[in-house]
Amino acid sequence: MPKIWKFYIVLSLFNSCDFGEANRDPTRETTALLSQLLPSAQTQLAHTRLALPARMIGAFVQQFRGIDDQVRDWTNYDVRAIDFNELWSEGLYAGSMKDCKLLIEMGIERRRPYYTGIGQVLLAQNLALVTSFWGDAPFSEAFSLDNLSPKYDLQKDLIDTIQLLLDAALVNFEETGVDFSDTPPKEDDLIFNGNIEQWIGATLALKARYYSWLSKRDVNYYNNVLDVLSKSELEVNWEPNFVFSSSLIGANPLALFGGGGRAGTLFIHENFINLLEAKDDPRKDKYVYYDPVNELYSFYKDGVSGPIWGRNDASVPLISTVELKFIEAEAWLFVNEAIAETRFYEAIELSMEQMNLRPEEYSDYLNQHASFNGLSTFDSKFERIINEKYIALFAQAEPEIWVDYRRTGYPGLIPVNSDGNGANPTRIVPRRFLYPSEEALTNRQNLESAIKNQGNGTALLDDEIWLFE
Amino acid sequence: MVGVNVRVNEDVLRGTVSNINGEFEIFAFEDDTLHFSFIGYDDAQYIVGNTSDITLAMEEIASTLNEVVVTAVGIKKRKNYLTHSYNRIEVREEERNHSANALNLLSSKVSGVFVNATSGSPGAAVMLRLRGNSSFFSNNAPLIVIDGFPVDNSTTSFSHDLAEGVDASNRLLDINPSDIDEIVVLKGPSASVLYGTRASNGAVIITTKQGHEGPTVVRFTTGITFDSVNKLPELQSEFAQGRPVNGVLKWRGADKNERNSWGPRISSLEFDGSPYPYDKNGRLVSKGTGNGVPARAYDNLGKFFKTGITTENHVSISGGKGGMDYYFSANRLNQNGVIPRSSFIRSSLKGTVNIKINSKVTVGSSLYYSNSQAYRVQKGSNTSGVILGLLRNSPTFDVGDGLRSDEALKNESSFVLNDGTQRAYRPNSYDSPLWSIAKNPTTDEVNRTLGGAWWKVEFTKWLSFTCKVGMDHFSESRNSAFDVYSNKPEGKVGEIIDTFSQYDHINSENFFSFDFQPTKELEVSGVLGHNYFTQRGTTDILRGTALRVPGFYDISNAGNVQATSTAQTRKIAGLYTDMNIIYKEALILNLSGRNDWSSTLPKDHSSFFYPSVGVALIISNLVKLDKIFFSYLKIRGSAGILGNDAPAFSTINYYEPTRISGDPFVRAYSFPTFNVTARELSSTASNPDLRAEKTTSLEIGVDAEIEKRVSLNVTLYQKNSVDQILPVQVTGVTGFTSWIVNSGEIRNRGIEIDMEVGLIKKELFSWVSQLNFHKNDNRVLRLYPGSESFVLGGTISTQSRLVEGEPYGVIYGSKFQRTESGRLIIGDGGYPLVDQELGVIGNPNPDWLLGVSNTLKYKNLSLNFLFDFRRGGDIWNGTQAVLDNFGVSKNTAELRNVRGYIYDGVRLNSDGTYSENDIPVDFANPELGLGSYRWQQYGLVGVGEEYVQDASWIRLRNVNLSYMISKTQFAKMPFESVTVTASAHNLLLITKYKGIDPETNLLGDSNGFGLDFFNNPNTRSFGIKMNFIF
Repeated sequence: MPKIWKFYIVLSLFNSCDFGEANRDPTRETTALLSQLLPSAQTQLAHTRLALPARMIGAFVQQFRGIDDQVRDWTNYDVRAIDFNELWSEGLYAGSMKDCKLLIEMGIERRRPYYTGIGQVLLAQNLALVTSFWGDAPFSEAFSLDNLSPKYDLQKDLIDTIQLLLDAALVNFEETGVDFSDTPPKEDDLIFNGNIEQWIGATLALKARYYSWLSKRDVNYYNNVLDVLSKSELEVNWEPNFVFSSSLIGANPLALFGGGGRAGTLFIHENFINLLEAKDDPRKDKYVYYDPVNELYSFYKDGVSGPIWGRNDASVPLISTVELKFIEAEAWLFVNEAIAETRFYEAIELSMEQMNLRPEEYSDYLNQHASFNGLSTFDSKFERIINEKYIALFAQAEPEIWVDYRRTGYPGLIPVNSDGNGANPTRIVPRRFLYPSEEALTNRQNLESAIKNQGNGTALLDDEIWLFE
Repeated sequence: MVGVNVRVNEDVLRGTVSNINGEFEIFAFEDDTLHFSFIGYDDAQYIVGNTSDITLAMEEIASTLNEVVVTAVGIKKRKNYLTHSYNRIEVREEERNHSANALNLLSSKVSGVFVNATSGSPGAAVMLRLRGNSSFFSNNAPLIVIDGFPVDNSTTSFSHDLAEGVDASNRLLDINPSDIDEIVVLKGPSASVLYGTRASNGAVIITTKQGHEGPTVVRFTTGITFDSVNKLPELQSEFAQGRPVNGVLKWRGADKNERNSWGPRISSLEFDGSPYPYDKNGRLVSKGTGNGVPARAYDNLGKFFKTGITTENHVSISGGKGGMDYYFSANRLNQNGVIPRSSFIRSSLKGTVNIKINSKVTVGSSLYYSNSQAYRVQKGSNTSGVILGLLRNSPTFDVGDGLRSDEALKNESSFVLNDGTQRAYRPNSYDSPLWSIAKNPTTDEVNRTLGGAWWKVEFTKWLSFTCKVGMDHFSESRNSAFDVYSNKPEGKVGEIIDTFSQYDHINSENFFSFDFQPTKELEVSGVLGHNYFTQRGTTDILRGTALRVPGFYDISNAGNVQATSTAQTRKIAGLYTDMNIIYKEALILNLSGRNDWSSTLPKDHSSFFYPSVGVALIISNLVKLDKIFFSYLKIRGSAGILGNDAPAFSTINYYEPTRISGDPFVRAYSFPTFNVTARELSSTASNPDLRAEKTTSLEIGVDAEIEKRVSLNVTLYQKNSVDQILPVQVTGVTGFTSWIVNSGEIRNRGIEIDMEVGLIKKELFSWVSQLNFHKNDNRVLRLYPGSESFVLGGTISTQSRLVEGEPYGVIYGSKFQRTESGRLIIGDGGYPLVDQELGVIGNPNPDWLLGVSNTLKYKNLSLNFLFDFRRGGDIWNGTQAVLDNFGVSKNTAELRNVRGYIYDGVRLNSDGTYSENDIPVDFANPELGLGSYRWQQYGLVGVGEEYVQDASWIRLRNVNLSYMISKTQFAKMPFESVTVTASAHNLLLITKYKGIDPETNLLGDSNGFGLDFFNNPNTRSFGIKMNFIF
């Protein structure tokens, strides 16, 4: 055989051994900057709050009404386990929560406590959504491939974890200059642009919110709330607004739904319209738009103009000063009714301001509705606070409206007479979400024991979760 | 005799074919041997000597078994020495159907082959499977090899979601079927082991036309085909757009964006003549209150589709002289679909030259180039879907505004109102089908180049060396637009998506082959070779929203533009050998093996070896023929293992641009936005410990012939694929939604029968009947511990999934609650309750497939017809589910008046016992409101179980009638011969399936199947073709 062929064959065999970096994707990185993780965690959380939960809860609490498709089914409590798959994984656990977890861990590793702290605040909010929707849920064994069957933690423990995360965040926010120096985030912090003072205030506000959730579990819950609210750190402008984009890339999910593939299926519930009209509420024109095609009130006009919460570039607070004022009023009611009434007045006033109304437009409303006039009992005052909160938090904070309804029973909704094709056998306003169907396929044993351990053991919509028992 | 293959020294490249008068010319040396072969005749040989004029008679046999056939890596073997099943399809021009897609040549022709068109749209992919699906996640399509060079046959969806977008093409569509001479199908791994990892699903080996030593032959073929839609769902024409309002049926039109056709009877309505932009006659009102012009139901389906026209012209020049042969061709195909404006145009050029430099060295080269362009329309689960907008349309809304098809499309006023918004039955939700065609165009252009060069050295009579280097390159640019006021994207602001892809691969093949006879009774042959394959692809996508100027679909017209890019790389090196020991021409032992090194596996596991062994015994060569019933009888068995590597980039975790999602009804989007970039850890977890997948297969078979009239091939096979590489679904709680692991096992086993019967064999008249039968039983034996199912694709409600213990790709969706004895459990409202858990509701795998082909010849007249029988194979008819919900299906017109119906089922009492259901329900009682209607109980797509339908069919797939006129008949003809062929495709279809032609797939050419959700329909065609030989 001529030498040239021997050489040729040896050459081609040589080819087979080492492929170098051939199996490394040139278009993706194997690590990330903290400043790239932070916007991920924030945006997904803001998105989640205004996506499916806002529509479904809005339908449950009769602020929204679906006239077609899924949202109509939800209005009639015909909810299916498959509805929650994407929310559970893409939105929460493998969405914002994973980002938060990485922020926390990589923040510690890279000695960037601000990032760790913000990660903890965002994780606490995600976890609060999870447990308010489903009660018991995985957490302590979550976020690892080492355990493909993470157990479900008790809701009681999750509620404790939320406060612990917020406390840990406060420590991290104070940590600077002690052991090492850290620079705050900059434009990658889409909420406060790196202002740690504001983060501290927002963290405290959230602590107050989650203490208030315990009203059925802790008779002294208002003390914890008032304790937090007395802190001077709350004197800054702490409202964590997430400003969505006017472009479709980054737009408010409610607006994206309003103009998306299921356009024309979701409208304002007539009960809510009646409520606004009966009180001659000046916020009505800010909340809703009369859609001449469907002859119904809508939360959406065209994404650019129209109702405030249905615009692409809506600025939506993760917790609002309005909400906190109502929480404050509620807590004071147990201690000092006069202060409670003042806070109640301020809460509604703030709500009007949030809607960019001028005092002359809302003074009548304040005079008529922002006081305890004509009420004698504690319960009736309590009810008025929650009923007004129900109006004020419309669209921007549906998860909190539902928590309030379930812990207080206000506003007194009349349930739709529907068993939701089996999802809601006792035909009441739903008390929880269904666990996602994919969880039954991937983590069945833990899911089944979690279902058994709670309420009446069905985990259907009418089953109670620990927090509201 | 015409068409006798004449070859010098059995060299395929030195050959010719006898002409119509049985004459041939060939260049040969004195010591060369001429080999003559013709189907149905014994081979003949002739030693040239010093004559230049020979005459030879051939003897007829039924056996083609002695012929030399091409197997893996181009190795040629005698057919009767093969130890595995072997199918070959000779492509006869007059039998070739009119499809632009070469894979359709395989439809119903041989056993074990499953060919499924994904839709009738021009350029739509054709899906091909051999012996069932065996890979959970990787491609299940076989390797395609053309003239010894592997070519890419991938299908790249136009949309992230396979259920929407447009029908994509499989890349073999770039290949001009007119250039194809024959197709060999190697089904089992033991047959294709030499191709290595890429052929784990078998291989389809295509041989293109080559030149032959002899005079120059010019062929010209021209044809025209007419297509029409072959099957559509039945719609009602009795009830108007509208719904019950306060207990009374009311007409509500497009101005109310009304989606339903649950309105009043059309016969009870008339026009009012008021100015109304959606209908020239005005709005509809009750009879007696308008202008007396009666309301009517429009024939929207009848007027929307047109007759599609396909023209094809092909010219080729071939010949050979002085040790050189050549084949050159040019082809142009121009296909216009049944949906107006949809089109596919392909132009191709091919050149092949082989040169025998001297008695030892032969070199050759071929080059193929094609350019294809398509105009595609939106399909499927998509508010811009053309079929979605057309079928959901109410009977009282005239889609074309008085015009039909092309004219309606040309006249913008039929779908655009004066203010620029849409004229559609439900303008704020679904695009008018005409609007979608005109204003949501997808155009694409592909340039494909296939090239190869090879040389072969024959050192001695028994040893040779071959080197082949081939490359495959294509570039594709796609432009998809949604104009301003289209319902996609959100806010009707318009969108443009530009995609640019490049793909290259290079394949080099070097092998020694030898063949010698140490003793008279023993023959030993084999190959030893090396293969190197390197592949690279890149895709860049520009996505722009908010178009400034309507109707201008350039990316510069978008307000916000995002760019993303992806890449893939794979390198494979392999060493292989194949040995054959043939004893006494009766006992054959085959041993082969290959070792691959793949770049996609972790370094430690990148090398994997797999062997195959085969044995065959030709009984008829051992035993005297008259003692057995068969004139030829062979039993054979083979077993093999085939390895498969991993998807590229699966061994490292990556961070990706963050995607904001979590809600199927809210547009997901990716960073950058808010003026920052963002990253998240990919939700698919990688695995640094991946190993190669292994498929083991075993097949035994019998090849027999009876009295030179009947040939029969029966094969039983089983293949088990283990260590599947797939992203198993893991609970999202882990922070990931899937994890790439080696896990699971799937088994395919089945039987294949191919039979050919020469019913009549007379000089002037012959009738040959061919039958092929395939039954495959497919079962997912294991998935991954703790993971119960794996989604292959589908809609939110219904998917094709892998489920342990079930066949591949079962249909998975919602079902009714049932008692243990299977009875429906009825709710308080009188309707069956839905189970909260989804489950398996159908099996899309056919029970068996049968193809029956008959070829009748009388003198120069030839008739061929091919029946295709398919038993079983479910399809989820999601289209019907929605049409029922909307009140437009024929079904809902017929059942609308049902009152007091009592479902056969039981009620669950509070004490846990059951009692017989006695609650009557009205299917559509306006007084109880729309929500009470039978078809509104379970949401838009109803309960999945209810819409799973049997897609068994009997289909007359092809009929061809051709007549040849040769110069011997008409001496004045300026050409040697002309063949005129009239043909029909899908002439007859009998099926219980209620939707479009069930030969369709929402998910295109992908692993998931059995779903129909507003898929684009299939076609029936008639064509005529003329083939001139000069």
